[in-house]
Amino acid sequence: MTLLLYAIAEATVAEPHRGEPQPRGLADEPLSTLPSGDLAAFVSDVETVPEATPRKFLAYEQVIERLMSRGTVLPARFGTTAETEHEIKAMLAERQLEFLEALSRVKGAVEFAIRVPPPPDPTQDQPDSGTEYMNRLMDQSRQTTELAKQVEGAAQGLTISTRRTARSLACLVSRQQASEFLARTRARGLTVTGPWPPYSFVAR
Amino acid sequence: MTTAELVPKRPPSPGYLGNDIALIDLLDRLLYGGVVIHGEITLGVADIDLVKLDLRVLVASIDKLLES
Repeated sequence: MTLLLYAIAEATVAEPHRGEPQPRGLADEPLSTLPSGDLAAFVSDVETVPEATPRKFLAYEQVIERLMSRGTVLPARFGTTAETEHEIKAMLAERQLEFLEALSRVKGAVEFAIRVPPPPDPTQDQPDSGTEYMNRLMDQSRQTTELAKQVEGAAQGLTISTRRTARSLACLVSRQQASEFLARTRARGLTVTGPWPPYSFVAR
Repeated sequence: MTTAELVPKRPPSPGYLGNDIALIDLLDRLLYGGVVIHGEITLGVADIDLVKLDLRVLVASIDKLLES
């Protein structure tokens, strides 16, 4: 048996909702919920780990978005599997505090990504040396810092939290303020995508 | 309703798939974010040049999607 983990939610969110269809997974299989304490995990029994193809990525994203329409969830990383139900329940029990804290952090919020524009032709753009490569990394880091400042200026008071990655900034924004966040950051000419489920904010 | 809705905003339409940046951002999230079962998520993504990797995946990905 392979169990594919989709998301973690408070047990009340995972309970079947009257009048709502049972949530379905990547291959339209029905999802089951594994409760443990105040939490529950959305999982499905699959033959194999899903292939990492664009079609599957998009299907996965849609599953997560449908789950989000039921309530606040912590999305799992694509392809996260367990061998037994026990493994998942044990994780929920052991990390209960961590997950409850994360759920409260992302409650009612969505994520936006703001990106430093990529080089014009990345396939032709290989660094000539290690030094050059390191210089570029430092440049990127500076650019991302600069980006963070711009976002602060554009979206003052609208971000709950931010996370930096190599060339982009993830912003956690309340759903109610999502439209305004988009409008303000786009008005500054920033490249913004989203709203996404809060993938970047599940860990502290 | 003025709030940004997740589901209706991004149907799996060719327009959405054709948006390179959106697909990169999605991959970044699906593959490097999210809950993992064993241990905390401590991937030091700040030090990894993800975009280059993503763009390679992306070029192949978009071709495949457009074919199918």
